[in-house]
Amino acid sequence: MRVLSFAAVGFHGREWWTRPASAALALATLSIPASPFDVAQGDPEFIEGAAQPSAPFLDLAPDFASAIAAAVGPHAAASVAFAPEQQRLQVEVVRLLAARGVRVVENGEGARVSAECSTNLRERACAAEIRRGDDRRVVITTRARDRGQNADEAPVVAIELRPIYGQRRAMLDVADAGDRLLVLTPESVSLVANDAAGARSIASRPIETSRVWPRDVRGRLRVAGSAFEAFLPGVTCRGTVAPFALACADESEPWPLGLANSGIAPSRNAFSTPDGFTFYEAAALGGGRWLAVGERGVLTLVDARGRSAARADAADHLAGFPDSCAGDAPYVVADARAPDANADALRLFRVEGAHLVAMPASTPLPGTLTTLWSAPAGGAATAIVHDINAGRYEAFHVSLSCAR
Amino acid sequence: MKRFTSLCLALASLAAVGVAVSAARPQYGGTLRVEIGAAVANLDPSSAASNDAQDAARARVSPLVFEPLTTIEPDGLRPLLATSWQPEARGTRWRLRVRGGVVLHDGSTLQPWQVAGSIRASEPAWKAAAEGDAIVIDTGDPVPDLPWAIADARHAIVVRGAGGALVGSAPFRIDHVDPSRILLKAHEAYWRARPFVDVVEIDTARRPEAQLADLEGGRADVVGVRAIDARRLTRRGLRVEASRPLELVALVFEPNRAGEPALAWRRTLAATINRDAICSVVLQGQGAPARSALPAWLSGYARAIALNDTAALSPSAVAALPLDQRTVMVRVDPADLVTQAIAERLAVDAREAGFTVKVQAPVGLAPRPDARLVRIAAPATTPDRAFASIADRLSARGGPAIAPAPGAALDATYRAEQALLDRLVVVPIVHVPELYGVGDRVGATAPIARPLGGWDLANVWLQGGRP
Repeated sequence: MRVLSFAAVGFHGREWWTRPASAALALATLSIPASPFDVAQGDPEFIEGAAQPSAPFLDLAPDFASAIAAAVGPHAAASVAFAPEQQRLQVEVVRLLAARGVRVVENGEGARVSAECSTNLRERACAAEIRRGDDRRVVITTRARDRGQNADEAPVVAIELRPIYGQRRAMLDVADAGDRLLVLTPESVSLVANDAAGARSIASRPIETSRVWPRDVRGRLRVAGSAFEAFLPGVTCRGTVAPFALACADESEPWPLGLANSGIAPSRNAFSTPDGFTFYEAAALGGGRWLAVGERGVLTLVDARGRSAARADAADHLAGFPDSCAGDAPYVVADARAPDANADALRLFRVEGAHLVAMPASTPLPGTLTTLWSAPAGGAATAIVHDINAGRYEAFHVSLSCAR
Repeated sequence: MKRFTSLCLALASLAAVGVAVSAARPQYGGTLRVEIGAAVANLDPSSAASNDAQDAARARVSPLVFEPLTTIEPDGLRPLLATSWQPEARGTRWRLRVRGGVVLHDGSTLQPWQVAGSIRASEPAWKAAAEGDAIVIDTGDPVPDLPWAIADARHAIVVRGAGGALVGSAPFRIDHVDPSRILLKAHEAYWRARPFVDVVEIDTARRPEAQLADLEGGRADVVGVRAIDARRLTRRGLRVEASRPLELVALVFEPNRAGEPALAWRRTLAATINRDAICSVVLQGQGAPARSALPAWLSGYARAIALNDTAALSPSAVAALPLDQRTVMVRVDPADLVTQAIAERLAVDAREAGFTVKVQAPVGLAPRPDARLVRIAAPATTPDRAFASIADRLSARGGPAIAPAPGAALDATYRAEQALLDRLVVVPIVHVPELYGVGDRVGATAPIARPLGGWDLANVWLQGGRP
């Protein structure tokens, strides 16, 4: 018997080496385009016995894995077999089962899980038969196929990236300040001009603090007219663009995230809400709802009634687009990493109830995503990417493009 | 989970596509000649048909004339004469916006009050009334999936014209109906564009052999085809088009063999069935092995169904049976050569295992059978509604089946189907599609055989028509 080596969910690192292989495996399933189903008349489902491709079912994987895990039992061993056409889905479900405490083995001991995902006219369905000795159980997870009569009106949404600025030193955030750009690094705030001579730093003010930055240092800028603030772990700075000045104090203040928080404590990299919920990033969904990257990277829905897991993949970074594309569901952009790649990608999801529905849109990045901050007004975000090969940090403006 | 993969149906369909009409610009005009096996005395979709065959025949013809508010396509539920819908009062009331600008066959424009009247006629238990450009249907009890329910052909919108004339909105209008022939004419102002042909002439109550001969002789353009005749047509260069597998062929044991004490006997007999051979040899590739009542494309869970026939079959197991249990009488419809052929194949396989299966196709009185080989159509709708329909028809034949409530979750439907099959009183054998033979002067911009059953004749054109 060989125990499969899929790691449990959980990665917080903001550099490539901190991420376990599980992320790469899981996100590989998201980033590979669905293979075409080569059947006459464009009507593949009438092939009796032929499984559907994996990609349309990836959004069911978390719920499906939870149902299987509940049937198998905690810490139990199970072998998992999907239809040959659905190996990508199997990889994802196996990873999620491991995260839920199921010991996934290859053949032999424990429960035998045979699973397949398919569609009927109303819904997409994943069914698993779980056999343990003479005991047999079946679990079924479903999701509506589409939004019925409104399907034709569904927008085609794409992620758009616009380069803002690049430099060799690490950047924590960038923000527009009139016709200038403010750039926050762990050491300073710089004022950048962009004119005929190109983008260049024209002034810089040091961040004076007695703090030692955490290894995963984070920072955020907020600009209001000519005044600005810089938020760092245990440090808050205030300054003006004209004249360019900066003063810092070793004190924690709430960061301008929208979701109530007390800032990042010194030597830490996470936020806490007043009721003690720890999160790394948060995306507004509208209507007082939030999606947050919680502990171990679990995406968590936060609303007035409390918190619940979003039943989706884990992520490090998240930005919300609550009012984009005039849909009836908000969008979020999260990070993803392809296997065997040194670069991340941005992946688009639609939030439907408590579910994240993966959208086809995916945008590769030129390196590792280190920061993704939602704009205060929503509708945009700032991404900072570390291109290890080029030895540069690049800042991008992230928005959604909608077409119908 | 036992998998059963059969590509025979797909391969057959691929072959059909391979001989599709060569590319040409569609031409308008002409009379399309269609033949069907059953008589259609009445095209009113809300009236009861006298038997299953007439019901099936009307289900093909009626949608050419009348359209429902919603329709079910391979990719799910879609609007048709309704443009949108929403539930109110916890699903006991539904508001549906009626499509504007739909010209009826009599030249008038479809009005919401006409739609409400039609719905009241098709389902007297519901209250339906017009409100502005919408209708409100009050169902009394919650109907959580009403948009799926009203996609059924019997809820198609029929406007009663002068003298009781049936007025619809679909691509063809009724010109003439008599017991042997239906004449339909193109609806010039059809809201989704006029069909290509001028006239559809449907000869009814035609025997299968006559339909085949008329197609081969160029006297018909579209006919119904039995699976056992498909290869003959394709060898002659004619086209055979197939729907998805819509019909279940199953062995249903009679009450005298349906008890718990006979379960082991039924399991042993069921284990002799060679579904792949039936599909490839008897049905000439035009069928799919069935180990569930609902085909996989309708349920989405078919591969999770465990058919309780996996007991190791050995000659000693059969030899151990009492002599009277080794002889099995299977009854089939004498008019249905396909089920007769399947039954003969069952007999061959069972004989090799030590059973003696006698196929009985009586036209009069006959000895009491042990089982019947039956065909049951599965409507293309939600899994719970499709299974409920199958359960109804099985009950009518004495089979045990309890259907889930309309709108039930998929796992409830699964449990109901698994419970039906666990007893092995009903043993699925194959799922078969609707098959149509198409003449060589027929062109079409879309398959004539709709994937979910019936014809698409609005996209058919005839070579030799006017440009």
